Amino acid sequence: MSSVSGAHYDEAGFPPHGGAEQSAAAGPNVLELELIKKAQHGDRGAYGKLVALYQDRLYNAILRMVGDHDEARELAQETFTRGLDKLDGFRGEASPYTWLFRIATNLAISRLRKVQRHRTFSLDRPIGGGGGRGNGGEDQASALIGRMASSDATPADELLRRERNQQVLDALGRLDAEYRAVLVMRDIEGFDYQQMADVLGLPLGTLKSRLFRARLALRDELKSYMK
Amino acid sequence: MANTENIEAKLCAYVDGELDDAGRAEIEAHLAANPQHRSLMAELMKQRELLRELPRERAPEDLFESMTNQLERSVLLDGDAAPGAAPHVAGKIHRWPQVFAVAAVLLLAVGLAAVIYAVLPNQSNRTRYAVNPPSGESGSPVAVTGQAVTQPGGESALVRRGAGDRPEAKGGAGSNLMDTVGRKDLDTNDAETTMPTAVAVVPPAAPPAREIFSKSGASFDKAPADAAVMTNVFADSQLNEKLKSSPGVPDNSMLVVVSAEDPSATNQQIRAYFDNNGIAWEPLPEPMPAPLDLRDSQVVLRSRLGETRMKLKGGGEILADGQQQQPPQQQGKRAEQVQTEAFSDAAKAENEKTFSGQSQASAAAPAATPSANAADAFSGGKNMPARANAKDSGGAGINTVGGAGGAGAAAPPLEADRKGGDTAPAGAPVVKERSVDQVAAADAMRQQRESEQQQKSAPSNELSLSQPSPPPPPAAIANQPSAGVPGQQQQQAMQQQFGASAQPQMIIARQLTKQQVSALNSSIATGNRISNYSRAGETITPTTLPTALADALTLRAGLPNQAAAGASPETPLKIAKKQEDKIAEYSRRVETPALATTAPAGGVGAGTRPASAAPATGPSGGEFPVAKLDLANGAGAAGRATSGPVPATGQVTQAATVPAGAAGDERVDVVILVQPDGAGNGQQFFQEVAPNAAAADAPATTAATTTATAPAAMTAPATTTPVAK
Repeated sequence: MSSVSGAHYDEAGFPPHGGAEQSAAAGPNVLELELIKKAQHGDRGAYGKLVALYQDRLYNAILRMVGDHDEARELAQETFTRGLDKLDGFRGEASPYTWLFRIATNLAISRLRKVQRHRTFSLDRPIGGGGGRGNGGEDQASALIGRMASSDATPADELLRRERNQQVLDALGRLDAEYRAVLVMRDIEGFDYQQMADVLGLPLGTLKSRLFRARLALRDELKSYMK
Repeated sequence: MANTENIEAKLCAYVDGELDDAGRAEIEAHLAANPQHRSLMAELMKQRELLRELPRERAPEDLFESMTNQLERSVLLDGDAAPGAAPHVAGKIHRWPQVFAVAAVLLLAVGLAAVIYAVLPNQSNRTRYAVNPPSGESGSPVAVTGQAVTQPGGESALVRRGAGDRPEAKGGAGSNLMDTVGRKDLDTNDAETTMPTAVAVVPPAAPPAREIFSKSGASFDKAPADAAVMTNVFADSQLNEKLKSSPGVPDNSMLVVVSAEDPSATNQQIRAYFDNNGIAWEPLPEPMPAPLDLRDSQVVLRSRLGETRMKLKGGGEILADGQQQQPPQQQGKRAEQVQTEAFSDAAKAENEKTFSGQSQASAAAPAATPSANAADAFSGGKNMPARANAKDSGGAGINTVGGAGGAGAAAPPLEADRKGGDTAPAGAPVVKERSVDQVAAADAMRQQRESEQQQKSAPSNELSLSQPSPPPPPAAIANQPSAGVPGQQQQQAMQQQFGASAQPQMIIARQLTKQQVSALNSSIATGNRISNYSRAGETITPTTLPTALADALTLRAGLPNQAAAGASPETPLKIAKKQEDKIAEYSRRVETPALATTAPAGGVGAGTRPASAAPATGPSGGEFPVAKLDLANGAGAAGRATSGPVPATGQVTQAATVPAGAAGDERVDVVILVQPDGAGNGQQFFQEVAPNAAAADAPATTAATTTATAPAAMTAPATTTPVAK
């Protein structure tokens, strides 16, 4: 899977941490452009490859926006379906992922506005790197793998890390959909300002101002924890 | 606002590390002056790192599988896409099949509608008859020459034609009298009143010879304006069959079908009308009904109103030769019965001169004693079909016309016989059912007897046991010289011999002019349904009367005693009132007598009819509303005197008043068939539909009334007619 996603992403197809600048500078991958062109000419296999390439990233981004695995899965599938239906509308001005992410963002914001609720994340729900959907076995394995990888991390540190992540997710879930979207796009997905402006259809200044306010809102949500 | 946004944008870029050096220096200077802001920036940077350190969740495995399956389905469904065609997108809903389905449904619906429209019969081709409303609600005018109607107050109502074609009275008041009757002008207030005197009346211009004298059917467009349009689904076939089998009905004759509740009374009234107007008429025999084909123990449904068993009167068993074995108490009467039978045969032979087959039974019945009556039925079976038919007529009136009337006037013993068929009079033998062989034997004997009668050339009035007198053919009767009106004489003879129940069912009046036909129609129209037909070959085509003649249809007879007759329950007009509210309403409105005359005033025309044209009295005692046209003054009478096989014999002397120009008038033989009305026998012959509005403008007969132009001045009869209210 990673072979088709290029060097900018890890095995799961995610951009490297702190690599927002890298991903923004990389631009659309040649392979991705070829696949989507083939898909536009009726090659369903090429579109399937695009789905396999983007599904983890897209699912994770949607999950951070909506805060629920089932909704994230449903929205991800809906995103790919709509992308397949509107494949002719892709003009190649942005990367295929940006194009699909825009669809996913619109769907997620619409869903959040529709349900009029803020997701609150379960406190006892295991959160682990690559932990999947609450599978305890996988979570334990992932925790073990993570522990082995970071030999210097103690169990107390791991516990603190988990608690911190949960606090951040809870705070993120309490934000408005627009704030969540910009935070996810910028800090999690590593989009640059221009990509974010293209996806959200906002001017750069407005986008930056919204992003700053979103960070202030998240800081307010995390104030108790930060202290 | 813009400044705040700009500052926020710079702070956001500072946090992300994307601010240029100048901006970063500016921010650093501000943070140095404001330590609380520096701590905020630090928190935002730390918060950013926290978000980046969030774990990455993998998509569930079934997400890719579901998407893969969806892609596979789209490939399979759209795999036949032609290369080079527009790229097909999986999941795209194609609308064309739905459009095609809707188009197919619409196409099928349109096609089905077209087929139905083509298959269904055209409504305009349906048989329709323009019939005259019995009470004459039609607004069509009529032209009647030589008629002066005098109101009870001494005023003569000059009835005019309709407003659409209203002739002007010429010659001043009292000098010209053109009686044109418009039904809507029958209001007394609207009628011009004048004292009629000797008025020179010019025969009206003959209307263009049209439907009534044509062989083919006429268009329906010229029917009277508000004449009711009748649709008869049975009339064509029934009348066609009846006339086909009727000897003596000449081709191209006009058939006037009169539907009356009391056919017998109507029939008699029509004959009285002919007699009173000096019109020669002859009876026409109706065809014998087909022999009954019965099986053993079969219940014969002879009427639609109920089933009646065919039974013989008499006690003995039926012999093989058709004779019935008498019970012991009846053996002694055998000779008398045979003699009675012979007498019945003779009577029947005499009857056939004037009567139809159905009348034979009714004619023979009064003369027979109860025992002879039983013997007649017993002996025969010979008259069985006729008798059964008479029962039919009396019971249902389906096939015959005058049976009901005959039954009404029959003698009590026969009355009982007809009603039940199995109700023998007192002292009659035991009634037993007839078997099929018996009926067949009776039919065979009857046929043999008829053949023998036909072979005999000369009629015999002698009573003979072996050779009953056969009836002469109707044509011979028609040509027999008679001192008076043939039909009247025959009727009188028959009534003298057999009683008042002897009624011809179908009569013919030959060589009638249009005016006579019109007057006839108008006379019959009151209280009866009337339809006119013309016969063309084997096809009876319903025709409407010509417009001019339709005018006459709207006439109502004078009803000299109509006011008094209103109290008579048997009057056809009163019966009609009971039947239809519309007719009744109009009957109440139409009270102005138009044609009723009691006596011609005499005058120029020496040959006027007798002044004592008393109204005919039907068997029920009601006064028939005879329109007593003074035929001596009409063109029809003139034409009748100059041509036609039937001489102008009888009560009217008309030779001196014949206009010269009327010799070539068209004439027609009129066959009058009186049948029971549908309301009386459970069989609705006519179904009234919407009035025919297409024939609102019926041209009326023009009639000049100037004496200068009159080729033969005649005197209009001064009439005194009571107004029937």
